[in-house]
Amino acid sequence: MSELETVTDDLELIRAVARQDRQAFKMLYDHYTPRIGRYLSRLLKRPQQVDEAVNDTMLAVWQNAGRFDPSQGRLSTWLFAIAHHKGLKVLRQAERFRAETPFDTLPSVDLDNVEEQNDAMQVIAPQNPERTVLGWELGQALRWALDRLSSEHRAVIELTFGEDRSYPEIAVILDCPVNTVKTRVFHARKKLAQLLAQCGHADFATARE
Amino acid sequence: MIASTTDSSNAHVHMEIEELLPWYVNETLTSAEQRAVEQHLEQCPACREALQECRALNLQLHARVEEAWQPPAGHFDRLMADIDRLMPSPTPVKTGPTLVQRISDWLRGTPSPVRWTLALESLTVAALVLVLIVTPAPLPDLGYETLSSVKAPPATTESGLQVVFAAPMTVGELQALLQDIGGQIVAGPTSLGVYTVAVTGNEPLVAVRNRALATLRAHAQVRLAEPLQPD
Repeated sequence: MSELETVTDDLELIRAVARQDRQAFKMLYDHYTPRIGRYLSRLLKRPQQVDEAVNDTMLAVWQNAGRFDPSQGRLSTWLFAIAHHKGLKVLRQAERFRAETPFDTLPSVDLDNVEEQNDAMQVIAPQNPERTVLGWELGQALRWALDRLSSEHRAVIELTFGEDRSYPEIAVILDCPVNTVKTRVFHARKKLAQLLAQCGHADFATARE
Repeated sequence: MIASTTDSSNAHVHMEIEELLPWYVNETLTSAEQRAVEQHLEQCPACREALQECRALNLQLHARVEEAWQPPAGHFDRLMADIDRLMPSPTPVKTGPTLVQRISDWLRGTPSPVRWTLALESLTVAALVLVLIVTPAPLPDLGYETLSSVKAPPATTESGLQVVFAAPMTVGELQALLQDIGGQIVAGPTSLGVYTVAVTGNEPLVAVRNRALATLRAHAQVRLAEPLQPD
């Protein structure tokens, strides 16, 4: 299917959703939620949060379908903008909830990352010879490093390198100026490189060459 | 001084280009930006290194397979339940337009001059209806009548009578009776079987009438006999 056809189909689909057409909404859901869910599962950490954020996203799509403006960009960009916003909201709620629980009076350990930290330790000092296989090891280290990034940095890294979005699209999704996107990705990359160096992947850039 | 300005300008260009590298890798730059990046890469080892890093990152993030998200069972149904709970009202797709909607749609499709004419007509009709309701009007024929509601026929004199004959009465008996009172049937029968009988005579009309009434009332085949005009 050509890009033009996709754009036309998307427009028809979202307009049908705006008319409260439930069949069209199901089509939109089937087509886009796997991608939205994939992005949200990389932005968030817990599957439950992802399900909730996807749900919130699609609810907002149903409510606001009439506001989609094709002159402002592709439908998928609009959907990702909503997903990003809802994802951060779920994240903030979870953080607020954690802040209100007595567990947080303990030394600052990111409970979500305990498992990943253990993984990272194994990466640094692999016991199993299989784990020295470069791709596997790097994949684990990268996952650990991405989880250590702030959600803002993680979002731009995922949108740029994972979702292949252009910087103007990312600016729409994050609702910020394009220059902010560029500098944020720049800093996120530096931070990621630092984290990888911490677990023995200073040569990350040439690792796959 | 000139050299330092050039250095600073170069540093600025270098920074701009390095910031664009991630999108050079994912191939979403404009062709002008792409050319600028390629020109700079030829002369900047630092950017070539940064480009490798971006490519590695792109490859690694695309190589992940473990995080594919699929809606859990019943996710869509729960979503629709949420929608119904939060926004129960609008399900306008299947239902036909209401009468008011049809009228307003029809009006929208009607040219403006026609619409004004229709509005004037409607007002006139409404005014006429009002006049009819307010003004005392003769009762319409509702399919029944009383004796007093029978109109006097134009030919009737003041000695007109209302008479109801019995069903078994023969034509001969009727003729004999009418000759006896000097009367003739001028109207009827109505749906109630009322005949209007005019009587004439040389005496004063009241005397003629009273004598006719007495004769009629005495007849076995007359059920009812009343003067048309009460005294």
